[in-house]
Amino acid sequence: MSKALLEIAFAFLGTLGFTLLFNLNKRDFFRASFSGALGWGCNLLVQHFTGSMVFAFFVASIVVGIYAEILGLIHKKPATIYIICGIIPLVPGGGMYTTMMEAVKGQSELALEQGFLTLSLAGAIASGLAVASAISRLVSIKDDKRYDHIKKEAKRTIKKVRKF
Amino acid sequence: MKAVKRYQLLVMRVQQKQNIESEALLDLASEAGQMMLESGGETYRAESIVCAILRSFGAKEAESFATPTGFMASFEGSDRKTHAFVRRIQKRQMNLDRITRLNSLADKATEGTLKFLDAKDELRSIETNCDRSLKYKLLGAAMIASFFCLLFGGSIKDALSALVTGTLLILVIRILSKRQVSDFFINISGGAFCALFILLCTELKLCDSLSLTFIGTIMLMVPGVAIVNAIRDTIAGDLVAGIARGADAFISAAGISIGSGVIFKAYALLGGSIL
Repeated sequence: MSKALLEIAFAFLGTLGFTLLFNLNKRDFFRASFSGALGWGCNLLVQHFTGSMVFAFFVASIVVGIYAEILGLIHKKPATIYIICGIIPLVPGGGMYTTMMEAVKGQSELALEQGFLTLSLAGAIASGLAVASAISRLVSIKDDKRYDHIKKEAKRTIKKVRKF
Repeated sequence: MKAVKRYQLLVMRVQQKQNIESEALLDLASEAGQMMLESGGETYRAESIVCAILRSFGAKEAESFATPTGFMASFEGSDRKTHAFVRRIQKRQMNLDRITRLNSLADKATEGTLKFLDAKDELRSIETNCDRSLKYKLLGAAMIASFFCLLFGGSIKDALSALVTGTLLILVIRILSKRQVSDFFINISGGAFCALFILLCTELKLCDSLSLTFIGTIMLMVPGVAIVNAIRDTIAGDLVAGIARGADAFISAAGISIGSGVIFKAYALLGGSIL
């Protein structure tokens, strides 16, 4: 348990580093880093109960995606900025390293196996995010104010033309 | 037919009111789109902000098409002529603050709360003061390398050597990209530098586990986010963008592997043992 908490803290701090490197606004530092910690926490929890890595990544990225969409709605910012920070602890950097390492050692079968795992993890994250954005689109009730000024101007013009 | 005429009339009114020239509008929209793609925004976002800016400042029939390496758009201006522009994207560097501010600029424009001249000023300010200084980037790199090393199970010693390597790695990348070396070569030399420095640390007994330290440091370079974004683009239907991003991610992963692989292989040939 304490090990899991420690890992979540590391995920939070690592993501905080990425918010600095990716030049995020100061006000979003902690929100974005929290999404990284949230993703890693969900991943640990699901992996503990199911034992499947790919499924855990899938669930974790759905949670990150929904969290990001909600924050994006609240703060009127694109959800992507929270998504990119949130998936960083999950993205399979280690898998890539292992794939490369096995390839360098000349063990092509192990390299292929690792490469397949890496690709399926990336696919799981991407499809989880797609599911999250689909859910948010189904649920959200947005007041469409786009191009209102043009519509208003149009109405006024039409009225004037009629009077004339 | 009547509706179309009414719409044209009102568009002309709006334009006359703000007195926007098509050339100026073209400049504004193309710069916004280019900046969005250069700071790592998705292609659909670049397309939508360009169209939003064009339409809300009175252009008709605005359409745009973006890929990670360039984009084009065309619109019919107030002078009833069709204007088009093409912009090439050379460098791409993630800058989330810039994406946010460009997005809110487009939102304000579509809501009609932004005047054309203000939009120009805002774009200028987004271009100039939207980047942190080097020391923040170095701090970020140090945090990334050390905490991801700890997350993957490294010891404190590993984390400290990852911290040093990560900070130096960002400096190396920065120096190389100032000399305008190609991205592929930057990846090769970055990977080689990491491998060399961490091998040195292991030889001097400064870190316990070579692979954990290396994974932590290489988090700074590996295109994990790029691969996920490539798959996301493809799922969303931006097939060209998805394939382009996938190729980009694959090439940079290959570059890092080549750089570090050569060093590890040479080390193994000289009699050291990896892992």
